[in-house]
Amino acid sequence: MAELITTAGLTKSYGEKLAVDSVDLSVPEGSVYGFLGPNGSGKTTTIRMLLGLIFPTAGEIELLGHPVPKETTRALVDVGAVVEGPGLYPTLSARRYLQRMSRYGRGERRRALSARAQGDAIAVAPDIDAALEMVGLSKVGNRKVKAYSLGMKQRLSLANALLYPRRLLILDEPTNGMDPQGIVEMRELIIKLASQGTTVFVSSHILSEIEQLCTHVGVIQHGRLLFQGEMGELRGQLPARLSVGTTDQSAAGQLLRARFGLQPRTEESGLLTMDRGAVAIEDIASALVGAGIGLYRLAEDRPTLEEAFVALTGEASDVS
Amino acid sequence: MFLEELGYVIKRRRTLVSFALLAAIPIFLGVVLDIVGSPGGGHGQGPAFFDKVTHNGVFLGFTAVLTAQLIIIPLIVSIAAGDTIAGEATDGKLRYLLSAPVSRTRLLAMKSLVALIYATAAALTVVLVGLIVGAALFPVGPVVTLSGTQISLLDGIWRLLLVGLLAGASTFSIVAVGVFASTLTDSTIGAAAVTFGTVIILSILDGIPQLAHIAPLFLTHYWQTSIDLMRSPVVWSGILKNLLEQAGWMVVFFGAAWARFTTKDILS
Repeated sequence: MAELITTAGLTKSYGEKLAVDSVDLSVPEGSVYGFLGPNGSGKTTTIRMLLGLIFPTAGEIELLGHPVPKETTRALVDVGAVVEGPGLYPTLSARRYLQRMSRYGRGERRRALSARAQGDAIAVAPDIDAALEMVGLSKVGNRKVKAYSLGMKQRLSLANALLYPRRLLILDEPTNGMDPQGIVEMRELIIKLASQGTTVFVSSHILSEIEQLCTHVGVIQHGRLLFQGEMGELRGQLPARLSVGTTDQSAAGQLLRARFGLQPRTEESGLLTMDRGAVAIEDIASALVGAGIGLYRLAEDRPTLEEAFVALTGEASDVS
Repeated sequence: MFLEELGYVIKRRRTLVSFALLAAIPIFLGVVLDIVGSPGGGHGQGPAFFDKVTHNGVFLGFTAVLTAQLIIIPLIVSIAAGDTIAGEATDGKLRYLLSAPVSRTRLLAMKSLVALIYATAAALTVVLVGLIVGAALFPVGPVVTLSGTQISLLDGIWRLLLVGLLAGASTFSIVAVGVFASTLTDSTIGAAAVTFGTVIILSILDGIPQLAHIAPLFLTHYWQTSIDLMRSPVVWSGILKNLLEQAGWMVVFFGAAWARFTTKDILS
């Protein structure tokens, strides 16, 4: 599978401060790549470098096979982007805004089109109605943007990214300021676009949003990429946890310790949790029941992204 | 993209207000002259040609543009030029424009070109409105030049339009300075203020005799030479010097703007 984004040793420093430190990204085509990190971890700086908005201090970037910043415009023909919140014209309507944006880079788009093989054609004409429809702004498309809420503005920024069919969408915190309904719709939209073959690179500090839709994940903190790989791999770094609820927790704890050599901890909820290692769940169940301890819960919980993240970064992702 | 940019600027309310202000100058001058009549003192009082307007309406255009050229046109051009890049950087619009497949060089060139057209249109507006108002309020006829010779009305109008174009071209240096200032900041007002301040300071320095040997370098120095078009025969040397001056400032400041904008981290 081709890589749509690769970086090697990507570094950006502002004076003494290293905002991004030797990041090697690898975003395969067809993936939904979650770029995770706390606020100030270097996500936005990285994304701005990918788009050629800021220049790396060191390192290489390849975007859709084109070196950035050298051939940024050629790569951007196939990229839609939302960069750190909306950037709109308050006095223009949504429709007029999209019209304006669609006219930027039309020449480069046409050039790219004529240079390509016919089967691989890209659209030159923007589809403003479809873009508004996709983000749920059809009914308010003629209203001036200054009357929009932050969530609506965010949707409009996304519509701009969807003006043309894209190979790659780069979305920086796309759900910022959206209501829960908007977040759900955004998630559904990303899943739909991904199913149509669009690769999505999406950053967020809210893990629960990302968890359900990403196939790949990169975790960044203090400018360093701590983990990159498939979603399951990240979760796999943490063992599954067994939680046990019985009528006599202290007796159960002693038994599990003595019989299987496990180290159960008592959680606030009163449940015992442990890493069961190689011990089979059915053995644990029969041992407890055999000892006459009333068993009402025996469950294995997969670690959440949040837990994997905390294990990796040593801190909670965000106040969210 | 060029037409989009031009259309966007034309439709802005700021543009409407600016051009209304420019049109108000000849209207105001004309109405005042129509009501109170020509000043008695003859030459030397009021703006250039001020005393001739009531005799020949064509001179209203000259008077208006030579007056507007001193403050109001430079101010309006400073604002337009200061807005080119900084205006987009406000509210984070620039990062979206540059996320489209548009090179920075192209974006800067488009924006600069539109600002140059804007500056030319500003000067021509004063001239054309002056011509219309002058013709409506006063008699028009063959024009007496500064040299005392007479030229036809058509020739006079033709020269008036040239004076307007020169007034526009005289602000091209301001556009260049303004676009450069605009690449340095995210604030339109800041860029416009610095630009207009530069014009004002240079025109003040231009009047200081001790600086006479460097004064020809000031972008304002040859502004008044367009009046030479009203001599017979036309004296071109000052006008050519002005155009050369404008070109020099454009090379330096558009060059600086390009160097800055194409290497700048877009953080806004």
